[in-house]
Amino acid sequence: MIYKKLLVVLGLLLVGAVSQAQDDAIGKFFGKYVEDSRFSVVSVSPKMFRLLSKVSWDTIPVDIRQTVSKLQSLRIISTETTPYVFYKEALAKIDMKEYEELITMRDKDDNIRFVIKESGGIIHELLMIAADKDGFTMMSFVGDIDLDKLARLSASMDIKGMENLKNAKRKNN
Amino acid sequence: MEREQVAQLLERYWQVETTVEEEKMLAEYFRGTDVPSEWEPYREIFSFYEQEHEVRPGEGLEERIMEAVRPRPRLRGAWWSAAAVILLLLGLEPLFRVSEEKRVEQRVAVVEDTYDDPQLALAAVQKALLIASRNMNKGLHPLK
Repeated sequence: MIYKKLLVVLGLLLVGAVSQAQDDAIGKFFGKYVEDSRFSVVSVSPKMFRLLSKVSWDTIPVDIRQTVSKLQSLRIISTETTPYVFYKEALAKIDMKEYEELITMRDKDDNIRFVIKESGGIIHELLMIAADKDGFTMMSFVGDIDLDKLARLSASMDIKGMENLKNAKRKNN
Repeated sequence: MEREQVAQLLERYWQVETTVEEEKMLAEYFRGTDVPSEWEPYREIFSFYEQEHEVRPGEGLEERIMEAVRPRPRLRGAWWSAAAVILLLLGLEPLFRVSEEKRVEQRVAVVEDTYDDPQLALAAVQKALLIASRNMNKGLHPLK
């Protein structure tokens, strides 16, 4: 009798563990469009984030350094094709039971939606979905995210930071 | 007792019509020595009843029975099994615990790393952060 109950409990635990590994919104989106040539994809895995510590950080602004050091993964999927259509689809794929709405903005061109996954006062995921007439972007940061710091980044972004970006891009090509 | 009378009593005995007194008389008779051989089996029957009558309950039988049927609080056993289950689960817990990092890795595993070079990855992350930051500010201060 006890063993039967135990089995049931163990079964439930297993189901729980498996469902935790299920895909989130951007995961579903990735799964669907990663092979689609209309989309471009950027993925930086937790493994790569660990490797980032080996890079020279001297030229990286402190705010960015601190923010990056707390990230675990970054995924971006974007397209220039029918941005508003994909914006709608992406929104529909978000399970609002899991995410909390942070920012919703809409004007005549821009559609921006930020949602977060929070537990215990820590924001574990920031998901941005944005579309304007030029393109659609869905971006997911996973880690320990400080929203204030993130909001300050663009303001504190200096010429030096931009130069670094350009350099990186050139190396990329 | 006359043979005739005994036969009559026996007849009534098997009809279950005899009184206690009469049954005692029958028992008395069959304990005696002058029982005809065809009634020999009856002697056994009555002496058996007689003997059984002598059986007395053993010492403290009632107490033992009452102890056996006493409604027992099942709680103790229940607590023990609950404790056992909890201990077992605690022991197994590490098997089910998926670290936060593992979970992220599992979720992200859908797509391969875009960059092999950490330097390029960092640049991409930096750019993404700036885009997100700019969009956040757009959302927070739309009139600017």
